[in-house]
Amino acid sequence: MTKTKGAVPRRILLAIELLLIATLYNYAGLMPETFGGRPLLLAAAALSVSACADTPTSVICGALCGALADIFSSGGIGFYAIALSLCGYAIPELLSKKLNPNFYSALLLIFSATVVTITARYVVNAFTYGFADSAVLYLYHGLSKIVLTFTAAVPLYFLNRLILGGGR
Amino acid sequence: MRGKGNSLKFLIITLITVTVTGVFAQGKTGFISGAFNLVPLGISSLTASAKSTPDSAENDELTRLKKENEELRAELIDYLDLQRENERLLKYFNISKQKPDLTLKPAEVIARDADDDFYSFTIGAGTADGVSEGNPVITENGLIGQVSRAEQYSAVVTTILSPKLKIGAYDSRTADGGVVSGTAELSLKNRTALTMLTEDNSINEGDIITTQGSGGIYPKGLAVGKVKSVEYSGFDATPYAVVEPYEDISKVTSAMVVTDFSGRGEVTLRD
Repeated sequence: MTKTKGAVPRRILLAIELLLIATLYNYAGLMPETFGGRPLLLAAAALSVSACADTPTSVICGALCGALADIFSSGGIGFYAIALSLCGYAIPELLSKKLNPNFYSALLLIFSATVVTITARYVVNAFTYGFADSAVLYLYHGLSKIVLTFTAAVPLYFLNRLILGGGR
Repeated sequence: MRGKGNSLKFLIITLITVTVTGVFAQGKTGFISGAFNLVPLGISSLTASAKSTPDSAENDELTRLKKENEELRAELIDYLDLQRENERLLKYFNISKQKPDLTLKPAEVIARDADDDFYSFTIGAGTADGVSEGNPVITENGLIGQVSRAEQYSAVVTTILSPKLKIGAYDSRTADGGVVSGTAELSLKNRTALTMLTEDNSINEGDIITTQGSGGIYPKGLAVGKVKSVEYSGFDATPYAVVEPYEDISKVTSAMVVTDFSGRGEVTLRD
């Protein structure tokens, strides 16, 4: 996020947006299961912020959203906090230093990060459920989760660009 | 270059903070998810009091009709809410009548874990209502899961489709015993498995599987489901029964927690 006018109100708006997403993250009936999966809204929010914010803001958002996703899921802090922090570092760094910072490269990075994060989750799950079961779950739930999370990240990307003052 | 170094330092500090917090906060984060669960809990009990203030219109007739419409709508919301509550209490009453030794706490499903592929869910009853970790969760049709995490006003339920849950159960016709535990493939069809069966079991399609109650965690005789088929494991060729629960677990909207029952905590040998 560049040092634009009204940085504090923008951050407050971003915090409100994330708080709202966190509150409705698991609300029963809000997000019906589609093709076996439901979008991971907190991951979508963190990745969409990464594509339009500076590295520190993006890493903090990734860590917070990830920690909340972990707490809601297992009661502890773990996989998502680390994975989304790493994405929060990698996306803005790649966008500002390696790629042409435009809409297409931002979406490409969000999609890649979604695929890597959710796939890695199923690889980690394999240690609990076994590789065969984890592969079945990935096929029937993971792939639709990737598509739905990315689909949710696209409007959130535009919203966050608006909130964070243009961004990239 | 300097900026990149600072960003990297920032990432490392964040990762260390996350890891340290994760290690030290293990099992102590219930107040965070509990606080966020208060909102869905509030929304689910808000419908009855949904009302809006009337507009001041120029036309008296229009104002009167608007007011009347609003009152009727509020009454309809009240009626639907009461009807839902009645249905829930009737199921609760029927089970209480059938199994008087069970102490039940009815609760609504307020959240579903988007990251769990075995349909775990959160109910709007917690330690404040006498719910504790390990309590069985049932519906009027039978067992659906177990409380895996209890917070003050909410509790997370792991379903019988999950491989994490192991429940001692037996065929109520043949008395063949085993362990109910889910698999990924069966969970896709809302089914679970009765594993660890003996080679000479005589389980057939249509048999009813019920809890053994010998471990003191589950009451004896709770229906788990109906046998769909008996198959053999691809790994070690041991037989297992495919069990279909009486409830579509991915669509459950209300449940009952068994907070106490006769024989709770007592380990007994099965008859």
